[in-house]
Amino acid sequence: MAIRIGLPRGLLYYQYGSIWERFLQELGAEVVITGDTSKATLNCGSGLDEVCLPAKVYFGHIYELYKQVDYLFTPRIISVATGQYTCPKIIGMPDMLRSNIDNLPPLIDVNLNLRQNNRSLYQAIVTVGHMLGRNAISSLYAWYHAWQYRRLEQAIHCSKPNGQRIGLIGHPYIIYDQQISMNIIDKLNHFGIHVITPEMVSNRQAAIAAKTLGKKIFWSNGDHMAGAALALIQSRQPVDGLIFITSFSCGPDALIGELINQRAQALNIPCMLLTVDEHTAEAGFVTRLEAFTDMLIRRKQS
Amino acid sequence: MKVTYPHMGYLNMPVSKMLNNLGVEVIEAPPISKKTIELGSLYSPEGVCLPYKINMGNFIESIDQGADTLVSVCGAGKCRLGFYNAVQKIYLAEKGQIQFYMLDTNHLFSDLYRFLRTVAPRASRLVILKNMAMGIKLLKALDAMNEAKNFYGARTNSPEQIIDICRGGTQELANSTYKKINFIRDFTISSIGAICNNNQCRPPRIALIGEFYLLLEPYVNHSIEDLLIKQGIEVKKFVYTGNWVYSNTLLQALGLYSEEKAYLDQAKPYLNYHVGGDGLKSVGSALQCARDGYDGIIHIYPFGCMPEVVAQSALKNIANDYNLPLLTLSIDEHSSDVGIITRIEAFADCIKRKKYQH
Repeated sequence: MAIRIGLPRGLLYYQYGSIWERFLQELGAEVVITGDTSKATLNCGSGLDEVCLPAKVYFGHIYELYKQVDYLFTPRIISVATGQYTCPKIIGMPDMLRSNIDNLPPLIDVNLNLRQNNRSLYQAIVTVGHMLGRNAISSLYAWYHAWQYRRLEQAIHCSKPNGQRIGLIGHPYIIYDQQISMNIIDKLNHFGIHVITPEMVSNRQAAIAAKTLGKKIFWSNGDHMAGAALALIQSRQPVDGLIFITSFSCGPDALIGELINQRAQALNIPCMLLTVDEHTAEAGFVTRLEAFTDMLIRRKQS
Repeated sequence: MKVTYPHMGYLNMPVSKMLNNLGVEVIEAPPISKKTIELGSLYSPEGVCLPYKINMGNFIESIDQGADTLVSVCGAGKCRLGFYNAVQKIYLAEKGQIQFYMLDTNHLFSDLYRFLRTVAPRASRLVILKNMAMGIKLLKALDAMNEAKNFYGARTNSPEQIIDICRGGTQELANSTYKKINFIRDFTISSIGAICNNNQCRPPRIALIGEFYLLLEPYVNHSIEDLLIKQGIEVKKFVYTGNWVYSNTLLQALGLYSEEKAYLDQAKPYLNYHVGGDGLKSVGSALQCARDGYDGIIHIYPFGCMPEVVAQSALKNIANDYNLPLLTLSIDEHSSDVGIITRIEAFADCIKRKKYQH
């Protein structure tokens, strides 16, 4: 019988999940992925104090999963780019899981630190393969295969000439989790607004724009978000408005949101800051979105 | 050029002394007050941590008094401290032409040296190095006095007197010369020791751990050490400015010291990686105290501090496994002093009862 490995749908899953899944399957494991975040997931995760909502959601997914699997795949992702880190909560996540949940199945918590060089990636691949009884070459080959299937970067869609364009800036694990973000993309699309997320801005464009900040941002997600936001508002065809969506008590966002807000104000582009937590009411959320889009439409007309 | 810097505990004393000796004009921010925190919060992003807001308040208050050159430290990763200045600059730019100097904690020695060379171009290299040594020596003396206060204060019937002596000694150090530092330190410590009338007793011991700034700045932690001493509890702190500056300047520059390595082994198996800030250190020292038979742990950090939130869940587990009482104080600008003091007193009572039952 194949080994069952659980993959929680939270945090960096939204960026690397498809590769992880493919990789583990190539290694011959049966991968169990949790479903979309639900109210029940949130309730399970809310037992924690003071951490941000995505971390609570991650805990919720683990609760859902941990009794059904032999291993949990929760790599300790310290850094994914040279000179940058992810975020202290993501780095400490395996330890937080162990401290807060009893009777966990073994965690696959290989360290992944690409801050200085890529060696740690290959080490991690080999270690995971070893845990599943594979030798080094076949695990590297599995990773190579998985990498071929990664989601290709989306190019910026050219917008409809008359439609409003809004840049929606936030962590992928907030924007693409429909429970946390209250399905904000669909809601905006429903208003007839074209939404651009940081993932639609190429890494190169974002990196060039981020250079104008002066100090390099050392959180990789934050760096990309700030770069994307600046690229969107400083381009020749700037977006009509920015929405910065963050979760309450997200550390890096507190500073990065402020930077983006200041830049947008200087360029006279409206910017709205939306903070979500598990108590956010949908009605209030929708009202703010409506008010913001109404304001943008009126602005364009005048 | 009028230099100013944010407050943190008694750090201002050696810094101002160092700069004054080098002939730099210093405008010190007024001591932290309610107004500082209000001003700072007004000009800061809402979700940022308390030390940022207080630093900001210090800067604004000293700029209002005419300062035009700001110096502060910044980290180089994970914790928000590394990004403080980038955002602070934007706000302070509205206040006029201001120079901002950052000292990176990873190369504290070279950055500090370079900074002193820029602000005091006429001073010779030797004088600068001598002044840096003086600063470190002064800080270490202050640390030693503080430690003596914590030790003897818990073993006497008149802790107020000891606190007063320590305060007097601190003021004396501020006006002393390089040669007299050790003399004042020894004198203060011996006079503290002389008051101690009950050397044999074994008071309950509490480990005070958490975030750097909150541990060191008495205004924001409501002088928690003095409070506990008055309750007859010995406080052990692991974060001392002098020690930290010493190991991060001299020893690190010589490659003899790495903070990360030192605490990584200590914190296992509760926390297995450096999570930035003082997270690893908190867990490491808590675990050491648990093994040494301490009677309780107080964990204090600013609300939303990322490394300490990770540390907190590890601490809960340590407290559970070793059956140790743990008090977690998460502080922001709205924390009322009465609420915090009541909690500390209740915790102290609970520790004492637990200790003397056996």
